[in-house]
Amino acid sequence: MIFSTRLGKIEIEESEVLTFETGIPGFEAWHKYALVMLPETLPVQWLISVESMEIAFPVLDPWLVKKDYAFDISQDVIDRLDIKDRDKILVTNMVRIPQDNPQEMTINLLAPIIINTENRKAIQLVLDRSDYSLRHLIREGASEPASKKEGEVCSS
Amino acid sequence: MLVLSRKKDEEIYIETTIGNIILKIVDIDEKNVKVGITAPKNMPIYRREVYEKVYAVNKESVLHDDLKEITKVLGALKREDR
Repeated sequence: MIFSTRLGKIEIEESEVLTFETGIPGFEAWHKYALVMLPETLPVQWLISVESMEIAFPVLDPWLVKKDYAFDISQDVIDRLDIKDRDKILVTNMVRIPQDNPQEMTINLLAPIIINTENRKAIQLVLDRSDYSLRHLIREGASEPASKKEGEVCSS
Repeated sequence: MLVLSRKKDEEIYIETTIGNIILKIVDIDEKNVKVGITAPKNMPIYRREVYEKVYAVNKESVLHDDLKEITKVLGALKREDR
C-alpha cells in the first residue's frame, strides 16, 4: 500500500504498520506509524506516521551511541505490548537534528520507543531513572572513553 | 479544580468511559504524598513534569526541516567521522 507521508509517497505493507495505542506524548491523536530506512540517512532511520503527512521522527539505535544502555521493562509494559518473547523486542530512540547546528544532535535516552515486532504494538516508554538524558549529546557518547562505560551501573 | 480531602488509606474513585481509576493515598509525610493508582492497563500515567519534558523533546525531534537538507547534514557528519 502506498502512503503519503512526511518523507513523500512510500510503499509500506499493512503488516509493517506499528500501532501506538496511546499515541506518542505530544502526538496523541495519531496511532499508526512505520519504521522506514532511507539508505542516504543511515544510521538514522525514520518513524513516520502513516496517518499524517506532517509527522516523521528521526530515530537511532541507542547502542550505537551508548554501548551499555540498559533498562528494565516492567510487567505493565509486557502486558500492554503483549510481549511473549523478549527477543522480539526492538528498541529505537528519537533524535533531534538541529539543521543549523548538527554538531548538537542529541538522542532521547530517557524515553525509548519499544516495539514488539511480533504484533507490532509499540509505545514510547518513559524510564523511571534520572541518569539518562532526554537530550544526550551524540558526539559526547561517541567520544566517551571505554573505561568510563565499564564503570557505570546498570539496573538490568 | 475539584479538591477532596482524604486520609491515609482512603481512596478516590473516578469513572471514565474507558474504565475506572482508583487513587489511593498510600502514605503521607511532611513533604510527600504517595498515591497508588489503579487504572486500565492501556491508560498512560506520567508524573506531570516528566510528561511535559518528553512532550517538549518530541516536538523538537519531529522533522521540521526539508529532508534533503537533513540528509546533507547527516552526510556531512558521517564524512567528519571518517
